Amino acid sequence: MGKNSFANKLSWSIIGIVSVIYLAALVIIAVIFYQLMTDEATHLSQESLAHASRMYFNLIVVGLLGLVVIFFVCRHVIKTKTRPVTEELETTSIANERMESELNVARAIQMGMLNTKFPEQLYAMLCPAKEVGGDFYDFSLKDGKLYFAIGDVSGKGVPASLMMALTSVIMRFVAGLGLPINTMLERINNSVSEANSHGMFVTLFVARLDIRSGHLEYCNAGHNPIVVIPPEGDPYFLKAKPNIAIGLLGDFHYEGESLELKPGTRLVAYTDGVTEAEQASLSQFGDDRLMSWAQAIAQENATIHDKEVVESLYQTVKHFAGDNPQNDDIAIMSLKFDPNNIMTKRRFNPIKDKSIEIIEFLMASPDMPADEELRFKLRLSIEEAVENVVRYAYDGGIGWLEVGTSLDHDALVLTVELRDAGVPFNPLEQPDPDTTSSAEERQVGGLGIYLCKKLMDSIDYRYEDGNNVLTMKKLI
Amino acid sequence: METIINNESGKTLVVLKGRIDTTNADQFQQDIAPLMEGEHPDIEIDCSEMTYTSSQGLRIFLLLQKSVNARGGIMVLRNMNPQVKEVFDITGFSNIITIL
Repeated sequence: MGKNSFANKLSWSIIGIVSVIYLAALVIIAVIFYQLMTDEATHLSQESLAHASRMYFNLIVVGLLGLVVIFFVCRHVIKTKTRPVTEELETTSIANERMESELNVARAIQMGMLNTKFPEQLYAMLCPAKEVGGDFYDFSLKDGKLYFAIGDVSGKGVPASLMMALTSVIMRFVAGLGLPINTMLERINNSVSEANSHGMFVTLFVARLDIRSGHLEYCNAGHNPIVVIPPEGDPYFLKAKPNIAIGLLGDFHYEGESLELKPGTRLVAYTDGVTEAEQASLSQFGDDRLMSWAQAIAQENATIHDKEVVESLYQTVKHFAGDNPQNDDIAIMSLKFDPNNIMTKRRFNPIKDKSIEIIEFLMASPDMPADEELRFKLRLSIEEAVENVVRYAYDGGIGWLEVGTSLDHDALVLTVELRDAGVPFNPLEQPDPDTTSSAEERQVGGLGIYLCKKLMDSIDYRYEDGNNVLTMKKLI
Repeated sequence: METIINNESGKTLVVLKGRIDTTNADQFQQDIAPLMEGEHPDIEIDCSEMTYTSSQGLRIFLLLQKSVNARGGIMVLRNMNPQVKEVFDITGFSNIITIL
């Protein structure tokens, strides 16, 4: 304490001395200036004199302001110099802690920006080398078109993550515009180039797959070539026209291209954190090891899921790197073109008085058969199932119903699915009506679901994530 | 959905046209309200142009049949298309409603 009060006294004396010297200098300058101004020998005109007076006034004001500044600067300097060492250490560790917690929040925000609601035919993962990173992926499925992208910002850590955030926001916006794939990249490039003050760049692979026809449009802006695993034959790197990375040069003309995928073809996109993963000996994972891995995957391509594919590659890379810490961000995405069992779905909200609209939507699905007899049975089952939700699932009829169809082209099985968040209710647990009783004994309820059971080949109910899910199947 | 009702020498002739589904079941029930009145009704319904019925339509047929039975009358449904007939069969309605 004594030490601190001594330091205090000392600091105030220093401030005093500095202030006095400064004030003295100011007074001397003012006096000289005044003498010069009023000296007859200088012969100032009226105008010049007025000007000089203003200058004089300004000098005094600025001078006094300077005094205030000196006061605060001195105080600050003295305070910092005399702070005890422990306090300084404490401050540093508090600063570190704060930095760390801020990075953790930043990581949560960055991870939160990633889409994790994977459609059936795609899976992806991101694993930054530091808390935050510059790799990213994105996808969306709309109107039978699966758009997907994977990218890598030059550098790592916070600067890369900021650039990643910028790029992915722009990309998501542009993706929604339904532009040709090369125009899409041009828009992204122009926007990113404009906002890019530090000469960073982003390698990006963007594609759009028609999930029914297998038509793939893609454009590669300096990114690693994606791996194609066809249903038969060897995996290969997808050749792409060279386009420069995003952010380097505005108004660059990007070239897109297209490919027809065979059913069962899998695509694996990744960032250079995969191929450049290093062992302690500094040898890298490389393209050859990636291809060997793809060969192995090709053996079980028909049965393996995208999530397993992604995890398999990640584990293979990690195993290769051994104890060597991950030195770059890693992003991996896998998707498969499988025209079978694609769910065409839509969520209706609200559903009150919407039964007929919902039924018509399902009946208009491309999965529906043309045969009139089948359509009659399907329509009746659908109507009964939809009515059941519309009338009873929600109190007052306010709520949503998501309906969809899918078709297994090989087995020729049509699936109709209904999902709602209403009161948990298993319609299959209701007793069947007694079809042998007389008119007087017959009850009017329970007929709808009974018809579904009889007209469809199978009907299943499950309660999942707070939703009632009813699945009906019919051989067509 | 169209419901045409004619009375001919004590017999009620009904022609049903179109679909009975969730959109018009209530209307169908109102349309056939006259059939729910009178003693010893004798009702004949031509179903040749009725193309579809959901369980809500069935429910109304059941109410009508119960009402006819209670009043000591008779009701027949004629010329039903096979698909609609199947719905009546599956639900056991063919056992309680006379379909010719």
